[in-house]
Amino acid sequence: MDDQKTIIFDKIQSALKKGRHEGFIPEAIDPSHLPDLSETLIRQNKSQDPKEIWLRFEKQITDLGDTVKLFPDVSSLCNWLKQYLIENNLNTGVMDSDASEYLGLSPGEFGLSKVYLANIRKTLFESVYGITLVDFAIAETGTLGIVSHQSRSRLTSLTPDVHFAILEQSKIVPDLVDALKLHQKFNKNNSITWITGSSRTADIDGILIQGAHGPKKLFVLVVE
Amino acid sequence: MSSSTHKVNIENIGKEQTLETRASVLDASRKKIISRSHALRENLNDSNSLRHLASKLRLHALNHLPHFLEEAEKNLTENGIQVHWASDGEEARKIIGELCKKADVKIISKSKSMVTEEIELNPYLESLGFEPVETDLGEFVVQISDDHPTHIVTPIIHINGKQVAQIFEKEGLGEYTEDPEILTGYARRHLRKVFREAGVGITGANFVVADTGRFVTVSNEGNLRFCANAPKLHIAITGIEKVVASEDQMAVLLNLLARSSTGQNLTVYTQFFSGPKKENEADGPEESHLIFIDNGRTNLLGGDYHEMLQCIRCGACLNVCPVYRSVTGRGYDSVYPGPMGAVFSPLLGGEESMKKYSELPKASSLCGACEEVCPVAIPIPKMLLSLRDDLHGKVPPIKGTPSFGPWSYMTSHPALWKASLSTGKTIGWGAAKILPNASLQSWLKSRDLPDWPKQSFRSLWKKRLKTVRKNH
Repeated sequence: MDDQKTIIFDKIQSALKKGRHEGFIPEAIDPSHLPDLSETLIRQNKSQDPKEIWLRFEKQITDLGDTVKLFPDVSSLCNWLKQYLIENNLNTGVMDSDASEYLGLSPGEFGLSKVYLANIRKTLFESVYGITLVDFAIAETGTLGIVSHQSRSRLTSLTPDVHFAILEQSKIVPDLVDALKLHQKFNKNNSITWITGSSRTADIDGILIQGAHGPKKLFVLVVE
Repeated sequence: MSSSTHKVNIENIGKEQTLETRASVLDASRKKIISRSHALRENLNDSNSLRHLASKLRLHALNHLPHFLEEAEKNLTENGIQVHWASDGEEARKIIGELCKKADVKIISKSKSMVTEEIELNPYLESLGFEPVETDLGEFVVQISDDHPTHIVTPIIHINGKQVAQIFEKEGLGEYTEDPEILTGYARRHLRKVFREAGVGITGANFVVADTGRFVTVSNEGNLRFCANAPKLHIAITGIEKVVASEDQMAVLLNLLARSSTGQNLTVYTQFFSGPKKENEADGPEESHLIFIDNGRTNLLGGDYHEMLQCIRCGACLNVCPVYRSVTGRGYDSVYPGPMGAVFSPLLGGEESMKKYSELPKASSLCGACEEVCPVAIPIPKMLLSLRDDLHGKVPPIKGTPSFGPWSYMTSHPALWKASLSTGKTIGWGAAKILPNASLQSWLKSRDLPDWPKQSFRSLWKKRLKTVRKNH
């Protein structure tokens, strides 16, 4: 293995050396002196106004063909959810344990539906809906950010047909620059997934189909 | 509904170029370019300056490649990701083969990766007795119809819905239908079993972030997330040129990539992978590996083609190229088609590839559209010209090319040129028409030569000058 690395690095070093000598590339500078990321250029959304941030976020999700709903509190969210599951015949679901805690929802009967904790692979693959908490969201693109966690399965937001994502309104940041700053607050040891809409493909005739291998429907349920 | 009433040609789908193929490609390419323009204009304040910044960032990483690769390896390893190095395709295949053997599995779930196409991974894994299954919808269709992808982002741009339906019916996935939603459903149903049972998942990686030790993938369908998170072993493979210095630079690259590629603001899933299951995580693969591969990339480093390594594989240059739209990916006979392919294909494989793909740099009108749409501002036409120079004398000209030797001599000797003009005026084109040169004659067959002018420009100019001088 070291052998291969040496072969590659030798080639890289001699190519760069030759390049510098022949003027194709500039002289070596301190590599850690990174090019300036001008805030004015890279920031696409300068507004910090919460109202504007919310409107932008709402529009992005809707444009993606998904649903976003705002609730004054957790209990009204749960009531809506219970009703929705009944009306749409969604019989079995999974939820992450932190979602379960946040909603005050114990595994078992949930209205006419049965919901389980998302820690058993079999249930993950056999459930119709999944409930997860979301750590942050990006208004610029309507993106949800989920950090891998002790109380969550990586598959809860992927395997079921319908994904209910629970988000606190205050956790929405304006743009990608802010989101990546947030990344620094989490342990770099934990994987982070950005979800921008329900799974989709346009491989067949360029026609967009929602629900390729992941969820067909995404509901972003926001608590004020 | 029997398929006999919906007969479309899928017999030669892996071999033939038809009007249908070209129609599919032209239509899809146009749509993607329109979406791209709209997305960049609507959502970015100054996409042009942003792409030049992106170019700067990519160049900085390339110019200090050893430093960032070392930093990446250190941080990836700290995250529990096992880092491997492969100088070429053979080494990479060996590494992957060994890992799969150790894992003692049968089914391997694969998500779309051009690098795995480059190293011809699937046939190798099959020879070892494994069953690699492509899970990206387009790549899945390609796999079961024994075809090749013709675009680096949308693999079946050359196949239409009816053909997909026939292919699925032939493979027993479901009854013929022209509803793309139902067809997608067939693939979803079939591949769910694969996601569940696969013991190994193999993916590519779009970027590797040096300062956080994460690799970043961008995808839409969800199959990549399955391949990377569901099995007990995940192997990712990517080129050495994909390293990014710091995670905050991803704001620039991610803002440009999906918009340039499909017109989306971001792809549905942008994953920042920190590797296997950790103590403070509920699940994830037991083992996570990342292979850095060279396979000829160092041939481009530090020279005329250095900037080509900035490529982030968006596919915009393919979508806009008039040549790609006309001949489709199939015309290039390479893993990498289109403008970026015209540079990569002859260079990645050394001498052999130079010969095999020597025509590609010549198949361009140098219109420059590729450079215009590139999110990292790569000067592709400049490189095509350099390649033409480099190939000159090394490879024979395309069969049927008229000899330009005599013409070249004549036009670079002014006295001879002037003499030929006056001779031409006297005897007209008659001489050309009887010259015993086969390729010249066939070139003339479909062309009408213009009438010889009554007066040459030179003599006209001389007369004019005389008049002007007389009046002073």
